[in-house]
Amino acid sequence: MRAENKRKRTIGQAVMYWLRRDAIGWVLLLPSLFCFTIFMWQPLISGIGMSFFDTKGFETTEFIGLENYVKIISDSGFVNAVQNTVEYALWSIVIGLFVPVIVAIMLNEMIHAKGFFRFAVYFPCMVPSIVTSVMWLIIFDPSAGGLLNHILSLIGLEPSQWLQNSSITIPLIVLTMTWGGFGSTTILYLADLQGVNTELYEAIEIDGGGIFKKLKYITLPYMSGMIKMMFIMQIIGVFQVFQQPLAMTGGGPNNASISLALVAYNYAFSSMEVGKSVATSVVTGLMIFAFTIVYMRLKKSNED
Amino acid sequence: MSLKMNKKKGAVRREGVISDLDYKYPKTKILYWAIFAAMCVAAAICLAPPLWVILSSVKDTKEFYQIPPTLVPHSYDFSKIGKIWSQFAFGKYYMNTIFLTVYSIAWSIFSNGLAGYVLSKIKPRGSSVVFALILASMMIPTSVSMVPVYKNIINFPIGGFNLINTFLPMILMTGCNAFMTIVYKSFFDGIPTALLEAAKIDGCGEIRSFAHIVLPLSKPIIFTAIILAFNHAWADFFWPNLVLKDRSTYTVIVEVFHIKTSIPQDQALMILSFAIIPPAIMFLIFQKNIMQGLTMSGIKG
Amino acid sequence: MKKKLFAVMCMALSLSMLTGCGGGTNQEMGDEKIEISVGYWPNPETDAERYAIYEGYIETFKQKRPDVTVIPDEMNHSNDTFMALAAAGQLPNIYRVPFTEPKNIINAGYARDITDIMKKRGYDKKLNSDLLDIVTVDGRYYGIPYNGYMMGMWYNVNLFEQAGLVNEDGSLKYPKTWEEVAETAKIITEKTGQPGFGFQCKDAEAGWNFMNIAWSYGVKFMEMGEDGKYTATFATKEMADALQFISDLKWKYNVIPANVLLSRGDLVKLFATDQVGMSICAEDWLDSPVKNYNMPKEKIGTSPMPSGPAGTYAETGGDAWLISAETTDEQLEALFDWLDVVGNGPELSDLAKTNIENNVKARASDGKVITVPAFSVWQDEERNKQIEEIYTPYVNTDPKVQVSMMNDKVMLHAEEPMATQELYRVVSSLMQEVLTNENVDIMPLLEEKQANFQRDFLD
Repeated sequence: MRAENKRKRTIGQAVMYWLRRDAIGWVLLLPSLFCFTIFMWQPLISGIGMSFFDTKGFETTEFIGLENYVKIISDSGFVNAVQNTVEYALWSIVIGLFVPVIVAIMLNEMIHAKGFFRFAVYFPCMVPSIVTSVMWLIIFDPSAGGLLNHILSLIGLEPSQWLQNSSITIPLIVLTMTWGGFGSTTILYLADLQGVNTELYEAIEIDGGGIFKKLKYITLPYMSGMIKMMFIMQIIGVFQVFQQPLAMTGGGPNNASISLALVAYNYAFSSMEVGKSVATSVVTGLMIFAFTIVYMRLKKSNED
Repeated sequence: MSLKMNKKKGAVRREGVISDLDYKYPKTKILYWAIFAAMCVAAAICLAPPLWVILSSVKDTKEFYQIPPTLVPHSYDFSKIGKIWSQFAFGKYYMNTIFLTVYSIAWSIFSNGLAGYVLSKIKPRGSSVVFALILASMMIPTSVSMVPVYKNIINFPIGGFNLINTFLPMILMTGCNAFMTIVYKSFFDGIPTALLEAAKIDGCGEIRSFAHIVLPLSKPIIFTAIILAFNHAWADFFWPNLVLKDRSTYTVIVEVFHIKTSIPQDQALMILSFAIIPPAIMFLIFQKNIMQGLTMSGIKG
Repeated sequence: MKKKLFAVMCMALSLSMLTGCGGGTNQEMGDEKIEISVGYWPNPETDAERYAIYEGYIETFKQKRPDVTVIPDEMNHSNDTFMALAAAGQLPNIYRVPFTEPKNIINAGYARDITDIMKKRGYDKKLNSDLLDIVTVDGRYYGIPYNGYMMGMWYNVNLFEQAGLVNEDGSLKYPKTWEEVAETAKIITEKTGQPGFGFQCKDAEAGWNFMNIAWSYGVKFMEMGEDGKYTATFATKEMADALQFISDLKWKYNVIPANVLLSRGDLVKLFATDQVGMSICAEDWLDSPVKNYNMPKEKIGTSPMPSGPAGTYAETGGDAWLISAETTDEQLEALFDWLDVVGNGPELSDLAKTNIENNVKARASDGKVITVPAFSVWQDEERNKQIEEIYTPYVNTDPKVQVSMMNDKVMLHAEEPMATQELYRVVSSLMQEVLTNENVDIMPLLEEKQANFQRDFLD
């Protein structure tokens, strides 16, 4: 009897616990699950399935296994697109990752005109892409009258071909992406920085530490979680880049800036070979996935 | 000036690494003003080129596209602004956009914010799978899912409604922003669990502790999210263009894209600047709120 | 706060759901009445005059088919959105696409087979057979070419005047061969400081443009073997010469814009703002400089395509109507009646003539360029003459400056038969390479591209 009672109680407790934690948790997740299922997961799965089929428009006709994959990988442009995509990723780490961190830390120090700076930094995110494209055209114009070439001539340097110089096309495109996107990352870092406990700074001060000690032992470690997350996000994002090269260079000159996602875009929207397009996207996804796994492993072994 | 006032009130303190004490050293002062100068340069790089392009739209078309460009317009016609404003009846498109924006923001905070909270703090059994799925779904380029999404909009899986010419698809889509969900989660990860445990001991349920403890602490991230969601709702063109076919449902940016190829290009640019003024004003208003939210939050003490 | 938020959301959901239902039932109502949706409808705010004309079309159409309701749709072809619209069945019943698109769309199953009705109504006999090929797959017709144009050259009269390239009677000293193009470009650049010549060099469309030059240099892009298999044959001296020609314009004479990665829009912009002296153009591009860049239409000169060593070739382009795959037989009949009324049918009724005239009139009063079309999609002399009569009173160009793009030397060339878009893309990247790399060795590059093209698309 006693034992039974006890078990009942534990069951009762378990139910209560379940109600308090799991059930409430899942109920609160519902809105998000609902949206993700309808606008993300179901469409993704039904899309990915098509990569194993021969397609006519967006209808599948015949199961062909991995044939689409074989076709896209043996295409003469595939290796080049993969190399370019990796190059985009590397440059986005060099240029894109650190700019918002540095700007956020600097901005957080400001007591003068802080609101103005915050506005200025976020402003590029609000500028419509058509204005941006006119702007970059003037900046990167390869004639002597182009803005950057004009500046170069003022300091006595030779004019550059900018986007037309295939060896710097990708870093320049990454630069324009950074200009257009770093504002939102910066204000996210700023929001994050508000959580730093100022008492910790005071503690360092009492120990006689200066500004750089505070930065090194408090600020950066505090931000590291966010930075690591943004790093992953950035890689995920840049592996999928296609809008910017499509608009700025069309993937040229001579395919120097074509990315995997742009290849996928061309398959689907210009040649209407959906199966091949999806297969290309899946390969892109697998590359991102592999990268993320490797990164997580490295992170873990570092932390251990 | 503001500095002196602040000191008198004693309300505003430095939020960064440099403390008042540090600032007393001349070396630090130099460093501070060097950073200030660097920020000025950054601000100039961000603001000057697009503003210059937009302001140049008062030039005539030929001069506007001239390379090398003229810094000060030779020909200008400010009456263009008023003329364009009265030629296109933007009023209703603004109303539509505002409607869409308000609901998008509300739904985005509700759905993504809650998801981030649950995944970070409640962690019901099995939720780690959801998080992995959310992360994984970011990794596949969206061109895969675009058409199936559109099919779901035309034949909504629940009830089979056709959502063409409604704002619902765009509003609902803001509720599955993987990026924002992850940002929320990592923000909530930064709130000490001890704080919540304490609330639970005081007898707060999950919902109450969310409302009374988490929400007040989350003001910075929520205001930031509002700005991002606002900007997105205002500027997003792709889905509104596919979904809103009836003129009475157009948003500002849909209308702009419909007319931009059939009017002179300098006018098109000017119309685009009408489209970015509201988000810019919103940002200016909201950043004050961020400041307020911060000084009230208890997380620092 | 959360409660309020929740209430707001519930309201939002129910509100929008309501409108959602409204939209849904609307579409299912028109069972007994035939509805046809027509794409490429003018925008009432920026194109008010043509919009009014189209409203008039609806009125006149009602006289003929009172049982049909016409639903305007502003859909204009764009690569970004086409696939989504098509896959979800959201295309209008009749939609317009440029000639570069039909093959892919037909192969994807988004256009309806209309062979029978086209034969019944005499379209198959009267339409230009080269253009019919564009909408034909496996011997079946899937579309109606309705607006044809040919490629030629256009000239910026301002720059020609500054360079002294105008005869005493006001006509332009325009080039007749590609060599003269280089010479003329040199004079313009020397006298005005602006690039004398410009061409597109971005995306597939650039390759499509370059065909005009390549054919006139004698390039044959592919050959069909006895087994019906195609072999790419463009790694030849002719192609190398054609590429060398544009390479010289850049590196030897330096007479093209420093920015070579130009799209059509970029090129039109430079031309219209006096920053390019001449370029290849199509008849129907003339409106854009006038409308989008306020260029006076008298300042645009035109002429036929220049000749190369192998003759004078001009490409034809244009637009076709395609019919969405979901269209029913009744709708199809109504659509063809609609085409008759708006003047896109093989016979021109009085009603159609009035409608065409109204359209031309509206465009003329809107400041658009009106010329007698140099090239027609119809091979019916009688019909073309009737069109000429309608247009002539409204022509607002100066024949001394705007020389017709057609003459007896010009040979029209149909598109290459296989993997056309992909070929254009390859040619476009070849152009980009020779224009951004001064020391490129053309022949090995050609052989590599030919081998890849053969392997990727023809084998």
